[in-house]
Amino acid sequence: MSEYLIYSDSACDIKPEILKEWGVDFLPLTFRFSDSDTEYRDGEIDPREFYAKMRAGAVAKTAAVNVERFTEEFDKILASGKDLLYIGFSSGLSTTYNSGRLAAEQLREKYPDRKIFTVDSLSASAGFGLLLYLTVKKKNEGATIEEAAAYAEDLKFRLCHWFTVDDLVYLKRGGRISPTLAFVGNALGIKPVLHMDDEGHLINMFKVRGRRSSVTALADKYGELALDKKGGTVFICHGDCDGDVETLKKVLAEKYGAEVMLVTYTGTVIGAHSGPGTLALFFEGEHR
Amino acid sequence: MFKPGKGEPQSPRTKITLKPVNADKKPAEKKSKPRKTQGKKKDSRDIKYLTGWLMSKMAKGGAKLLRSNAEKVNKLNVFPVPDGDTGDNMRMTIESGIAAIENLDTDDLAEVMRVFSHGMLLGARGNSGVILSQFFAGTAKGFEGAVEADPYTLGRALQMGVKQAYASVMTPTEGTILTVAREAVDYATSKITPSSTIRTFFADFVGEMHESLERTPEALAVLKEAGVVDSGGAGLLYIMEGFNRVLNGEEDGDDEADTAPAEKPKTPAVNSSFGPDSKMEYGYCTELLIQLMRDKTDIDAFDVEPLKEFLSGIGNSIVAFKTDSIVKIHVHTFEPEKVLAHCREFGEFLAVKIENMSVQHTETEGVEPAPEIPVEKKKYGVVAVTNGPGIRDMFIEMGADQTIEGGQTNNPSTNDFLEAFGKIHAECIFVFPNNGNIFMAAQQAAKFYTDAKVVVIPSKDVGTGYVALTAADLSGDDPDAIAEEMKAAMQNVTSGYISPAVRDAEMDGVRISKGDTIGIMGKKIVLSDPDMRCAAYRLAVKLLEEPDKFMLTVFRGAGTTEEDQEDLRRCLEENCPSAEVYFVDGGQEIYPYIFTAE
Repeated sequence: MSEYLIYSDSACDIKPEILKEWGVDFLPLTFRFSDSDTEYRDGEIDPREFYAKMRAGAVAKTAAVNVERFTEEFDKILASGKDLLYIGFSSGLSTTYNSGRLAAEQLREKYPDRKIFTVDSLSASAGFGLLLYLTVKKKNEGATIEEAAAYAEDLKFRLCHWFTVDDLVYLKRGGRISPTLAFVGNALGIKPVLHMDDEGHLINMFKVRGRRSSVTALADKYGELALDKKGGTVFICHGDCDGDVETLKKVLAEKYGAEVMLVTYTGTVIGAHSGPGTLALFFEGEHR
Repeated sequence: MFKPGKGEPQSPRTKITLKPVNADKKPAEKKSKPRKTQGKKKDSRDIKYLTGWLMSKMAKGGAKLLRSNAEKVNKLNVFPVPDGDTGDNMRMTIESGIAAIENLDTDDLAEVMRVFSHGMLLGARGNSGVILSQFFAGTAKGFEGAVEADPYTLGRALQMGVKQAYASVMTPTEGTILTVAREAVDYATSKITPSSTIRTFFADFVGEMHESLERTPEALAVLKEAGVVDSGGAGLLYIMEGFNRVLNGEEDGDDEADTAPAEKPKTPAVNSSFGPDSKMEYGYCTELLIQLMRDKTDIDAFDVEPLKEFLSGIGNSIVAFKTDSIVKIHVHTFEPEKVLAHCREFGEFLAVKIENMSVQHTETEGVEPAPEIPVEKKKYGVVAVTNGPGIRDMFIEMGADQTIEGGQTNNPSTNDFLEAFGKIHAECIFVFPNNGNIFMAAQQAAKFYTDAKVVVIPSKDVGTGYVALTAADLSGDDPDAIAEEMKAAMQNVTSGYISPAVRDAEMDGVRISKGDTIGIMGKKIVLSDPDMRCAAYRLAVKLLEEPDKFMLTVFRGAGTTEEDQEDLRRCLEENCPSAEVYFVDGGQEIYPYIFTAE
């Protein structure tokens, strides 16, 4: 059995040093601020600085990874004799996965003896990160590339993404949510609670009054859906709102005995669309 | 202050002033002198029967007296804040009735009362206005079929009025206009003897009403604490005293000097507004009194239903009823000649009145058909009563189709609601009255309206209404489920507001000096502060200290400045950092701030 590498992209919102620890390679998506042509790699700017700019009104435009970049990177890996499992950012939100898939297709001819698998995570942010984490865990337990790919394909429909945003204007601006669904967000004090559906699209599920209620609504969803409430792996992502993270952690611990394994910033590319004040909870459930 | 009627015996009750009883005198020591009988009348012009003409005049006299005392009634406010409006509401309600009978040319008591009370029902504003209109509507029902009324019939009719007034309120409270009406009617009815006249009846009626009004603080603790008598009861008393003055000849209900029906002008003065090039916009108000003729029809078997059907084919606003061998009809039509021709098939005319409504059209004729109607009916419509431009915009942004400008001192009428409903083409209309005192008028309009299901959401203030509207999901199929969702959202809301105090008082354990700003939470005064900004901050904190309250929406009123708001924002940020606070430039009158805590 050949050695295989799990490959990813930066939309998983896991810090490079952690990904390195997991043995996962990745390509960054990119962004630029609308008033300048300077392009930044996802994560190149400190998230605090990035959100401060957004709060001040800066608009960030994002770009997917193109086929060329993937082909270049994948070629190196395959040339080194390793098999490749690419798990990519939801095709419902970005063309990044498709670029990776096309690159993989092209390279199959060149490397007929190499095993190449691609998995559309239909996930985003640390939900995507959680999918990577659990797949890496499977790999470390001795799973073959076929087993790891099959595991990820199955697991992805059970990875729950529940999140709330402070202002739907960002998702609306980036076209990541339909304008009619965004409508509720204009009301004073109304907070939407969203999730990601099985097609990897963002869906506005319901609205609550007040930030506090939206934070506790995420915990309620955990209670409703989490497979292993006490021992499951829980990730939290946030757009620079530490206080709300603490509230959410506290409620999860008090109500369900849940421990949050990883808290991280929503990265600059995802954050460009979700905006400051985004709070997201990721966990394995019975279904999404 | 009421003056005793001409020729009336002086009695202690006439000393009642419609001022706060504690305001400038000690509470009156209870006088237990036996009531002086009003039975003997020296006036030879005693009136045995109440006729339609007399009723119209009395109605006008009642409206007139209330009009000149409306401000006094407004001031009978339980809270020492300048938002009393009972007098205005009742005045506008009765004036709407007066406008309806303005051009009515009949001596038929039942008809006068029917038209009068219907006008009031449509014009009803505020809870007191709605109750008043229901009282008259019930009384009108009691007169049904009566061309005139003796004291017995009058008493019975008023009893029905009282019954309907009570039925119009979900939880009738004693010590209010209801009690005042009921006790006065009961007393006057119990005093009827075969020698009673309309005048003796009203003397007893109004006399007892004075006393009953004075007793209201005994029955209702909030009145006693505030040192006022019930405002709705006071308004009713002014109206009835106005009736009485007309009866006693102290006041002429009409501006024209005559009481004799014969001298009543038969036709309205022709208005030159309708000229050779005018458009015939409104048709003819056509009223016929028809004597059924034995050689043309079977009088006993004559049924008005087919006649109504015929009339509805060529007109609207149809009234048709038969009393013995006489049929009365009323219809608005463009083709009065067809009505005449048709009616002559079974009778001859006793009286004919055909008036061009484009000449004499007034806004109180009734609800005109709604203007241009969009083709597709949408599922849900929303009507909200808003106060101030900021609050109006907020509701419109959240999807309100129609807003009605109104509030505590400006209660929209039932008709205002009907007009708003008429402009919406929806299967179901949700109504947010946003004020406890507007709820009943909305409810009454909901009952009248037939083109859509109308659901009134009992929102007591703009903030609560906004919460209900934003919390609901208007994409659902079941309007009742949506209404429940809205009501559930309101459960979680505690509202408060601050207002200037207009008099010294001590209420709910709070000492209030005139000029202070008082803070009211729910229905209780919770604080009073000489400084408006302090009062606002203190009330905001109190609201956030309520259990499970994390979020505060602040509606800034027309009288406050941006600096005031910044001051409040800063104080709250410093002292309640975890609270989520939203500011709205509401622009409402009277209240510097309205708060909604969730």
